[in-house]
Amino acid sequence: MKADEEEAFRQFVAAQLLALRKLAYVTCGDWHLAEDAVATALAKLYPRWRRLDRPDLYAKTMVYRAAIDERRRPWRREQSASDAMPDVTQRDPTPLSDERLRVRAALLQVPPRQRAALVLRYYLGLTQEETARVLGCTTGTAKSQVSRGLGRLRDLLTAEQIELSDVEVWGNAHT
Amino acid sequence: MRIREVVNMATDDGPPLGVSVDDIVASGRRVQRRRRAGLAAGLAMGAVAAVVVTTTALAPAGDRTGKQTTQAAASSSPAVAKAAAGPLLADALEFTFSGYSVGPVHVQNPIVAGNAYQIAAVTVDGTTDSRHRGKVSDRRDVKPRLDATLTLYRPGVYAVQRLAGAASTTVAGQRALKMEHHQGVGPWLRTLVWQYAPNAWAVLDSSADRSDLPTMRQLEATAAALTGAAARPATVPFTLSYVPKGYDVFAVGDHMTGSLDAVGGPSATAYSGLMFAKDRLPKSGLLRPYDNMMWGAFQIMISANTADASVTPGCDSGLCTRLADGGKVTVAVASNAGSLSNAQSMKVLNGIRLTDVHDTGTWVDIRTALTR
Repeated sequence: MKADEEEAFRQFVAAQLLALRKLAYVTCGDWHLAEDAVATALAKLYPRWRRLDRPDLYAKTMVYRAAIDERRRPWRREQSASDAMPDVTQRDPTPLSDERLRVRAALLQVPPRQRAALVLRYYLGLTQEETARVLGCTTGTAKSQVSRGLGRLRDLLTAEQIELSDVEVWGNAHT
Repeated sequence: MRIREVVNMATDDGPPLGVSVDDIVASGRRVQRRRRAGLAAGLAMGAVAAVVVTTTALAPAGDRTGKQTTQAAASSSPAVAKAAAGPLLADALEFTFSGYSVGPVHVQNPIVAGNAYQIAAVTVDGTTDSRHRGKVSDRRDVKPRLDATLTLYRPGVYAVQRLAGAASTTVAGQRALKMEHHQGVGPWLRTLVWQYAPNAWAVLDSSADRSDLPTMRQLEATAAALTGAAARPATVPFTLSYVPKGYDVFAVGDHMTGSLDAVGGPSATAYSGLMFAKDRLPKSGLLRPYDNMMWGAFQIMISANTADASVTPGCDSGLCTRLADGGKVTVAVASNAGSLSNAQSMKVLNGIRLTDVHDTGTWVDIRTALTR
């Protein structure tokens, strides 16, 4: 890779790393696996960097697929960037608010593919078609995953006396 | 609360990043070096093997092994039947076992056939899976989630030597390895790997909300009960008149589309999925089924056009779609990472001729589905 291309890749990684790790964590529910999924996906992106029209979509797809929990297990972590480094250490435990715990528990009870669909659509701002490409399904199925995920998350949050904002959800939606 | 706030609240207390941009660039360079070395080795091997190795997928079906083949789709029977005795070794894109049960653990009929493996979903009584539908109005009614699969790799495919941190065990007197992982609120992950035939490995993977679904002991009992059935080819509900030059089938999903990993089992509305790859895929060194993103793949997906999953025909973001059967069926061609132009995707799409998606008796052996 040429120096200017590598610099562009570096800037892309720096800009995307945290958001991709969130996508991976929401998908798999494990910070360690999430970081490994992101590191592996971005490393595999490197040799393909020049040939991709939409490296952002490609990276999200790779991260999502790596983070689907049945596909990302520590004993298969044979090629990740983090292999040579110590395990991720949890920072000092600070008291999490009760609401934070309840919100996280609710989100992680939504099935992984539906969680990922919600993050892609409403957190990362992808269109329905882009969401479908990342999930590896038809647009109709992606819509269905988003719709079911929303319904399930709303029900779970309602049970915790937390209201999910309809206005924000539909206001952000692309057609 | 907004979705953005939900995601931020659930993720803002994550640990500091343990990997840097420099680490990723260094790892990327290693991937590139390995890829170049692998391609060079592959080209050398290919020159020797080209005369001998013919494309299995979409080649005329023949009695390559002397095994009996049937037109029956593997998942056409919803019941989980007791496995019949027979050889487990499969040819590419072929199924060689049937569903069976061991106590509360149910191995479904295999629904994904690749050129190096076959995969079945595994369920446990009292659980649901990632694709479970329905509204949750009372959290006490939520069943624990389980995503589990059984994968049978063909001889020499599975890279058992690359597993890290595994404990040794035996399954039916054969060498086996087992691994478990759990962290925080993440899933309970278990994997059991055993040698079901000389140099051929089977893998039971589970990911569950609860620590006991299933237990490792249950996985071991399930593994020990695996037996073979009459070999049968993967079938699809269509014929295909055009595939871009150099592409080849590498996985078929029977009542499954998308990632073709068998997680969640067969779907009544996802009829058939097919993945093609451009490069000649390695037949060894795998630790999991192929990732369709890594090989310039494209996919064909045949599914129901339902009210909650309706589509608009046309091409967008690498996904080309049309409707068939009076608008009841969606036919889609998905180009991963720009592997096909829209024109090529449309040519593939327009070359698909459906049989009756609801009658698996009309489905076509994948090895004869290409009519070009």
